[in-house]
Amino acid sequence: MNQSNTHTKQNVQNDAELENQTAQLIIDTLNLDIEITDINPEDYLFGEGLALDSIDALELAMAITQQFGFQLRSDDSKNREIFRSLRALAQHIAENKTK
Amino acid sequence: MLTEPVFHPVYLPVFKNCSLSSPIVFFQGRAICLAELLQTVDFLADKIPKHQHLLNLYEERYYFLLGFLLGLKQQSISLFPSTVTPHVLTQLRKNYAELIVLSEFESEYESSLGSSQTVDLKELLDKRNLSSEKKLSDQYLWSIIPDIEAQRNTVIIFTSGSTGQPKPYIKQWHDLISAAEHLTQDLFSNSSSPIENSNNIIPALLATVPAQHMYGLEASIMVALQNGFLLHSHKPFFPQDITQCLEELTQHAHTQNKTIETSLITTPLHLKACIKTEVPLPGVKQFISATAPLQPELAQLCEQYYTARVMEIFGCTEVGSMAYRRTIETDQWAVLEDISLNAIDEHDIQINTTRSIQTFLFNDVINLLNEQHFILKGRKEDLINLAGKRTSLAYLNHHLQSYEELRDGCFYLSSFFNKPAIEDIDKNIVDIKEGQLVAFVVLTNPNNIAIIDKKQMTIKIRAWLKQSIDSIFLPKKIYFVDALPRNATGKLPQAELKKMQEQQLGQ
Repeated sequence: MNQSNTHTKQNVQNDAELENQTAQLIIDTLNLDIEITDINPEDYLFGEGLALDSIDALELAMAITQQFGFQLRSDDSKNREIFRSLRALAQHIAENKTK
Repeated sequence: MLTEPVFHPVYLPVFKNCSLSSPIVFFQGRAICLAELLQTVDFLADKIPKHQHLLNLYEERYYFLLGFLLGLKQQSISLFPSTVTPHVLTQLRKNYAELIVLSEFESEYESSLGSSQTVDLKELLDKRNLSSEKKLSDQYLWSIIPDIEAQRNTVIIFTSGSTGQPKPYIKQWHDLISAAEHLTQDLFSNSSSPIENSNNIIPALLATVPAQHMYGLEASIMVALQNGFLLHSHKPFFPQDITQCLEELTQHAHTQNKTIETSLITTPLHLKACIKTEVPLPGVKQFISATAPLQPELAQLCEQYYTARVMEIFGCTEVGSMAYRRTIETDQWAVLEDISLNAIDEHDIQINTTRSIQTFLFNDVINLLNEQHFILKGRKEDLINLAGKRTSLAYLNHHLQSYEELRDGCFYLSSFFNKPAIEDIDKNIVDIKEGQLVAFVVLTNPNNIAIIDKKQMTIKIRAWLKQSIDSIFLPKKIYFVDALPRNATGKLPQAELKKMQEQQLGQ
């Protein structure tokens, strides 16, 4: 069974929902003065785009652990990818969440 | 007959309390002993010609340490800028002759390095053929980094500079030694453990702060070298990373049939992150926190949850570590033995020290209790301190106001606190975010405020500021207002700005 077959309509909906949940988490955690719809899922979260900094990353990590029940680590080389965009972060949460 | 006093230079050792077989740095799963470290420095010194100045950008403390020791051996001066941007590098190259950069080739700084001569220690070491090297005698190994003259300029460390121009501070060797000695005396001496047990204990250090900042340099690098503590090479970021590093140290000690006692050199932010995510921190004997005041409630939680002491260091780039306290015991800071304080007038407290800076005026508002003790009341109004970086409102405002589409504008450090989450209420934590930087702006043409796209304008203003301001100081929110509440003298009372933000939040 390949990846595309498992990606059913239900999954797509779940992805979108988790993306929204993640966007809301970012906004709430960092007190950003924006709406969910203002975050382009493909935009950079750090540097350009939302211009978050390392303090924000740590704040986000805490919130993610509390809401989704898993710990972020930076030892795997994927780390830069995980925080690249809202979509990448939501994807990582989908793969690791325990609650 | 009177004779001129003869000046006898004093020489101070780099390594104390350790033998050639002492483990010095824990890197890639193993403890590297002093003999191996020295041999590697000797190898590098053979490959890298002496330069007058050395810019050491390594985050991994093993490579940082090799670069630092190479500088000490070759009598180069290590430069530690507070941030590395293309602009900073251009300035450094202009101002410091014979500059060599030690950095990973594929680092975040890559685009900034441009044409400067860069050496990647990792690459040099990968090519090294250890089996072809002859065994060095103990006598030779000890001679690789001879004792260093106390007055020698070893490090130039830069403050971010409230005027925007990084300000260099030269550190002589005895400055670094003195801070490390007194930190050891007050924070790292193990008077509570019986001495006969000490052979079964490996004292270790793990730091979440960069080695290039004054706090990291003194509390991790210098304290490790001067005590023979085992230094973990990593700079962990997420709480889980900290756990993993600590587990590695614990396992290492286990294979030696010993116990590890690690001091975690960190910040209030990381302590909060550990407590909030409830990660295990095996082998932590004490936490050392600096860069921002630590809430007593958070210190209390850490002490209880991890059964480890929480100590705070107070210091600044200009002087180095100055004072310490155990947060749960007292709000009073006790100065290190080479520091004393005196009030020179109503507002200003002077720091006196045997370090080469000799005197320095306090940047913070303090209550002086006596020469050795003080209570911190807050920062002087204009200064902003975020994540250990300092700037002034005047500097930030200057850049904001220079944007042509704005008629007026100012930054405001709001004391807005995050609402504690439910779990936090149980644990009695209030958020320790120091505050949030916001900006108020008045557009050049105020009639436009109804029709302009505020989001687009916010992006444009941020992009403008980013050219000259560290991203930590970018405003988290930008409020568009008709006018700033300037008083008759043109000043902006903080109370008025607070009121204005409350109004904006209420809208």
